[in-house]
Amino acid sequence: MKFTGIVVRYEKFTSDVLIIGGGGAAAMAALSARSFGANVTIVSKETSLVGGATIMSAGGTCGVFDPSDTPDLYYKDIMRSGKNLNNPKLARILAENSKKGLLKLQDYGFLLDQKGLDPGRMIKEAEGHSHPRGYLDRREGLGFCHGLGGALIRNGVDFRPEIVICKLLTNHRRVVGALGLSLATGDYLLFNTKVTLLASGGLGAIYRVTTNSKILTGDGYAMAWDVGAELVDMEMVQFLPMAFPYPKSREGLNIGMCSLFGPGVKLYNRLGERYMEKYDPERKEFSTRDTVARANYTEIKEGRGTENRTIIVDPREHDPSTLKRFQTTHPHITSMLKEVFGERAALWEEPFEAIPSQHFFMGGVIIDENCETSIPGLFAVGEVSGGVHGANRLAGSALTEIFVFGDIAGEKAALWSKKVKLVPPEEAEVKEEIDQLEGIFTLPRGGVRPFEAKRAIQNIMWDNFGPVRDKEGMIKALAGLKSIQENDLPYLTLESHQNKYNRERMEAVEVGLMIKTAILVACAALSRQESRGSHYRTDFPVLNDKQWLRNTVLRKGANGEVDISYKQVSI
Amino acid sequence: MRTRLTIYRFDPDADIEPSFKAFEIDMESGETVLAALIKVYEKFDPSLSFRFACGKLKCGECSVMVNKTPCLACEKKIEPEMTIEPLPNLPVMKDLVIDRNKVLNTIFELASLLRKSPNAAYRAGVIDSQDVDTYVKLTSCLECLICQSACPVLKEKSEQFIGPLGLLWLAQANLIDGSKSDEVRDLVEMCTGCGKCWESCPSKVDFLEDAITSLLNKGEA
Repeated sequence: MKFTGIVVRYEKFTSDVLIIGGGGAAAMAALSARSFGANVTIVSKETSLVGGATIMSAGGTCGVFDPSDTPDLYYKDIMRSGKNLNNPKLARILAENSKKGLLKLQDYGFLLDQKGLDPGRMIKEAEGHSHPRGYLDRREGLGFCHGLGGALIRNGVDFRPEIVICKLLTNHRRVVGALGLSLATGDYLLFNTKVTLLASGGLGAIYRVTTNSKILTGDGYAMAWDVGAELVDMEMVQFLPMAFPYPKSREGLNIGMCSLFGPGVKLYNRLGERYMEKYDPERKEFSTRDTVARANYTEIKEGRGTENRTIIVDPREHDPSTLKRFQTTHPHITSMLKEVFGERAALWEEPFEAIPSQHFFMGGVIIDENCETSIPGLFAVGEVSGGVHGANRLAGSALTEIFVFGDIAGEKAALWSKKVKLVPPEEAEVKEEIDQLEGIFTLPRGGVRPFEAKRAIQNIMWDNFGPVRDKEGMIKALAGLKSIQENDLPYLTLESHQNKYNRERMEAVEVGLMIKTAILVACAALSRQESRGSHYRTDFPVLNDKQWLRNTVLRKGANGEVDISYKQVSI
Repeated sequence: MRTRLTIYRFDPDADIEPSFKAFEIDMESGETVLAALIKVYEKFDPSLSFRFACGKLKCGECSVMVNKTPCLACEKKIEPEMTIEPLPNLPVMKDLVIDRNKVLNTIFELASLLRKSPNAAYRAGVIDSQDVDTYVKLTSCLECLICQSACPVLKEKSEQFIGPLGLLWLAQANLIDGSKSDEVRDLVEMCTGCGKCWESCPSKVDFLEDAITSLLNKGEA
């Protein structure tokens, strides 16, 4: 059924730079663009000035501060962790600007936790780092967010909350803005801009179990793909080994890696086996995070998990000073351990349960060193962009990416905007998109509700594109995703009909984007016939540099299909 | 656990006055109010409006009043009987959603100091360590607005007073900026020191100790 009703009016907004997304990367880019004289609009799905995934983060970022550390050493760690799939230029930029990026926050009036910069406080055991370089802020990600939020106000950034962007708009293949829907009023909003910067974050919410906030539905990947941009490493999803398994409202929240509990910690399945002896006989529980995540996932999937489908963490053998340190550096997690498992578990006197959880996404929209994508007028920055981290992200490097590339993206977007004219979107495209959305929102088509389609996608992704993958599972799952796209989404039915604060409408937009992003991840995962970094499959469990030292690149084909090509890695 | 939620409903553009609607649902014990609201919205009444983003204790967007106590919906555990209302004393947009922008804009208008950029002395890096500790405590605020709704002075003088959150921001600005002005003093002196703000703060920010007292001290010199 097609909606051919009245033309809905929309409100128009113009800017030099439009930033889609409301996390740390968006804020850093906005401030940088403002300093170069551009007028900047940020459009976010939430009300927090700076939220996204940044506000959820534990606050650890990397910097070359230690006197015996060098950017070159950091660069080598980044490439090693990424199994050489990283774009070396981007990795080099990250390493060389890590210190500068963090100190830049002070220019925006943010007071760094000085005690955090003290070399004595830096943590070395951050996995994969050859040198101590973690700056841990006591306020965690929240501190960065509030600091940057204040700066947004002081620097005159036009911040527009509770708007979901439905589609990027183009004119002769150049991105000229975006169409959004206001959650608060139900109005359509047309943003016409000289430069569009995607800073829409990761895709955790396409997975059932994730550390991410519920709004991180991977919108940006789908929108970029839709206008013909190239995406890379879409199979590279990072999982954490130990997260809360229950209740639902805490499911997926990070507990921490084994090393935090000291050398005496042990992991068990329901048969009482210390299974890490199988997966990594040498290091056992102190294996890399992705190996432990894989192990935990496998034990549960193969039926050796507890009746709650979890694994057991036994922290009883520990040094009191390790517990004390954990309580000081992770008060939040300590109180959640008490809340979920009880006082004794919080004091490490009793075992508790855990499951692995999705956490970060390494793949994304391909950018060059100016954060430009392959589509004119479209830039990307932060977790939505791909190439910085390769096959696996080094601890702390996500926040570093925000500070370093956020700064660059803002500058380059602002400078680009000075060189071009404002070009309007094509009216026909806008009308067609609105008609389509109105059809979805108002016509009773007898199908599933948006939240049901979301759950279905989340379950397929968790069961088949998690830490352990296999050909059969992935093929079936991809078919399942395509079925949702072809059979369910065209009949999506909403039961809420108000204009004001209609959450179901936002969910309907999100699910239309989520399905595309999920299919991209699925296609890339099926395509890579080896295991590398965070991508592991039982049918090709070994790293194969001979044939697979190359990136998977995805692009929309002439008929809307997923075109896969490969880009050789140059070492 | 079977729980009965009695939820405040009001659309100022469509309803003459607020009403309450009750739902009885089954939830696992230990679940949160947010999970219950989501269940009501998905299974029974999709017209229910409420706010959340992270769902995990960080963003401060889901603050509501449950049985007359303000809290974060993603933190508060369900009880057998719950009356759920929007945060009191703040403008309501729809049902449990309050107008955050209005609240925040009022603060920025009344305290124009908050729009100024840090001064040169700050950039020179002259901040003493005691101030850093205080600043770290102040910036643990979730911006959930529970303090604003709890403030009795703000209830009476919403157009003239910036409220606890405003004072918190002023204290932060003062720590990094160090400027002293009459504007600060006038705004701070409207606070009666009743302590209702930090009593209800989910982050346990000590407003009186870290914000208001420090502002008064700095204003004195």
